[in-house]
Amino acid sequence: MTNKNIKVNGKTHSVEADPKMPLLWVLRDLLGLTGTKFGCGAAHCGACTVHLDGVAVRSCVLPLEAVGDGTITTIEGLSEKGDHPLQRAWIEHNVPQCGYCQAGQIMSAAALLASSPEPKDEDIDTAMAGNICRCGTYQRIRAAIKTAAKETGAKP
Amino acid sequence: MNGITKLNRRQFLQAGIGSGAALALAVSAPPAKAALFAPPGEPKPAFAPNAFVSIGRDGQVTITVSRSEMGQGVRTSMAMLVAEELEVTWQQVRIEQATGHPKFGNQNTDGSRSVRTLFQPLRQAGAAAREMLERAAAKSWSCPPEECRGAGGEVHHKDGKRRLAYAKLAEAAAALELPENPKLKKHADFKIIGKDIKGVDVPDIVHGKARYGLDVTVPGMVYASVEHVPVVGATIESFSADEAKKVAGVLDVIKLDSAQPPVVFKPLGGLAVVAENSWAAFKGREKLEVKWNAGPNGAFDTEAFAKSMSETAKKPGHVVRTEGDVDAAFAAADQIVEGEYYVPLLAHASMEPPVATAWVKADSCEVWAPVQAPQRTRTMVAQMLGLEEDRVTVHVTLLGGGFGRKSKPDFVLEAVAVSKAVGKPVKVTWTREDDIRHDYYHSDSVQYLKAALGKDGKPTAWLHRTVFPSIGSTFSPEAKHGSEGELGLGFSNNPYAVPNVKLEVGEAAAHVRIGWLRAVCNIFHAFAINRFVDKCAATAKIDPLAYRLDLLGEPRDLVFSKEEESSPYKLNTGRLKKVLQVAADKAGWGKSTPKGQGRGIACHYSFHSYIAQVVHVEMKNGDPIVRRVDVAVDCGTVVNPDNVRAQMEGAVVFGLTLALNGMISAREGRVLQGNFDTYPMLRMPEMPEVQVHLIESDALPTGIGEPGVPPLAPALAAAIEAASGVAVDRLPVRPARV
Repeated sequence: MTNKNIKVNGKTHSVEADPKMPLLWVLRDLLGLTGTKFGCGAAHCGACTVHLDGVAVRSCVLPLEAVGDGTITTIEGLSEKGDHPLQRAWIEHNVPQCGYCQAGQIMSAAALLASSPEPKDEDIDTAMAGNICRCGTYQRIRAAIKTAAKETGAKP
Repeated sequence: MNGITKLNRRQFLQAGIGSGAALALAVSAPPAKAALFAPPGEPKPAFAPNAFVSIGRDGQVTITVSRSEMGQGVRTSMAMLVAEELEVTWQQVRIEQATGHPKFGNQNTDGSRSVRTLFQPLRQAGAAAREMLERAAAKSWSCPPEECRGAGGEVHHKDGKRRLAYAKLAEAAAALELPENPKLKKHADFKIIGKDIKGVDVPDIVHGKARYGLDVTVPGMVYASVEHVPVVGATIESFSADEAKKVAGVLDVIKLDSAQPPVVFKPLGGLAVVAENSWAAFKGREKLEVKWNAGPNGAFDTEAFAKSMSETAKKPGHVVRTEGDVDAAFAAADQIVEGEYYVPLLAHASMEPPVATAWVKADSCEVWAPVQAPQRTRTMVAQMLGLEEDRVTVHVTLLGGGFGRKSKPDFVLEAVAVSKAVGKPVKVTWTREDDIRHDYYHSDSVQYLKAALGKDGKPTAWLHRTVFPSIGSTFSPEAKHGSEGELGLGFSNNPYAVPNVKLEVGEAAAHVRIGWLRAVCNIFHAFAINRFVDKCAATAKIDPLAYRLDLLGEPRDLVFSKEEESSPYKLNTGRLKKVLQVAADKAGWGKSTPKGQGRGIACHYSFHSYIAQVVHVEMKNGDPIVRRVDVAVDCGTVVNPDNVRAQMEGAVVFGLTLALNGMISAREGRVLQGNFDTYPMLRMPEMPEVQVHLIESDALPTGIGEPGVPPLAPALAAAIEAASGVAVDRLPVRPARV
């Protein structure tokens, strides 16, 4: 067991946990941030995607000890007012069905737009290939990413 | 299967009558809000004429949804039906989720039937409430009720001057008698039904606030993970939990009895590791030392089983349907066509694995779980604990996918068993491996077909044998072959007009738990029949679209059983022909494709809906790249068009996943797949363009969650054959990865 401070969504939390405990379970079971989901435990499905210093990572395989001083962002902290262009585009395109994978999808898409504000189809394929949607909302996810990209691209 | 009370219409309308409490504030039109559970401490509503509608002291209109949301859009569509007739705006509505209770009528969310079976009753529930509000207004204005009309959450007098908000009428309405026959609106007058309405939970979902089974927390809760018996019916010979208990955070290890046949929904059994958090429970499991006694299913091998089903399919089986004399027709035939088709076991693999939280107290029990059958769950929890049902509460969370898996409450009963043992609330989370290896699988199946073709190339005789372990095997060891219900899923209701027909079912034993999965037996029946029709068409050198249209004959209603004679839902060949034609036209059927590309077409009637799909494939290094899928759908009256489109898009993905990669295999009784590396799902780079074409209709609404799945695999197989010349008669298209 180790005592560690971690920075999540702009707040510092003190957690006592096995240093090998994946960040996913730290977030969910210790901090009560349940927006990030468990899908496979092996970085195959992307349901657990969060940002570590702005980079999309699979929190189900990221041990607490590997987080270091990094800044973590989860779906709950993606935007202050819940109005990230992707969140609005997801609503506009009525993307989710069951919705379980969508936090991970949005976090992957947000990392993509941060590094590539005008992604081509191939960029979307590459960035989103790690996120499974069993309901099959991929067509709408693609459309929503393009809508959000247009909006962010239009900003000065 | 379960003792769910069937309510008649009047009982349905009276269900859950609330008290007429005092009322204070006026309506202030809040935006449509989706909640799962009522906020704690909320006062009883002023007006609650039935279990589905209430109007609170503050004028809040609450619609309670009795069916489970797993992505099929039911929380939105059910609420639309009530709101339409209640005459409130969509923004005035708050949606809550029903617990499992007989007052809601049947709550089983399966069979693509929520909208179909509740289209009338839910509108009546809304209309009854509206009529009472109108009569309350009439009383206060001392005018005949005919002069009053509900609209937009208010009752308006026909003079155009007087109006009263529902909030102000709620208390008076609560004192009135329920109308015997509430009048429903004409379809042409619908304001909400037929509009594209966004999913009510979407805002919560995109902000990480939506609550699934996995997200439940209860004060004092502990976490558990179960090392399940590796084979159904296996038992623990010996075990040691010493090392597991040394893992930091592990609290206890509990032995759970293993389920013996009939397994029904009994917990599978194994060793539950109870811990302070999920991770510690998983780690503890790794340290368990267990010797299993594999039991009667320990030799199960899917490959050998497929061979035995193939042998069975070659021999006469139990006759299901017969017309004319197939033997005579075969003897006199110009040409004989034969085909054998195989679809393996499939797993549901919902993104949220089975998970449940249970709290067994001294004389009651509460569970929170993503279940498709909350009443069945409640009944079985009560039986298990020896409690009266009214001591058991089943809170239904959102389901992170269901596809039929979460109709089976085994995982809830497991949590109840663990909570009882530890005396605390406990959340039991299945890992992905638990989910894939211990599913209620979709049956594997072999289908044999034989046809005699006449000089015109049309079949004169049609023999079809279906072989698959029945879902009935889960409930009774006596179930040796597919049931009438399973055979009615695309087999015994084959719509093609052939003069001599013989349909038979062969016996097959189950060695794993078999259960229903999105579209159920329609999957292998549609695959085999469409593939075989293509083979007959190719032999006859006739275009497969033209061949199907011809085989369907004149537009007419078909009846396959005595029950169906009085049913408002009959298979109409004209409607099936129409979707074929529309899908073909939209996809450019008949236009040439570049070398290495091709199109395939398939159609299927299931859950009373008509679907045709055209798949366009391009072959790259022997592997199919799916470019586009056109889906034509006739599901009668469309309640929420955008949701129908979404369900079709999703069904294409579900169908592609099973057709390209779907395969569960077992050796020595153990399932070889375990996670998404060995049981792969379709991903973004493989997503084709999907075009959905809705047929306008004012017929009764029919199923939408499942019917999009069955035609995909055969249409894909046909496209691959058109593009490459390779006939795909066994699924999946890609070889297994284990």
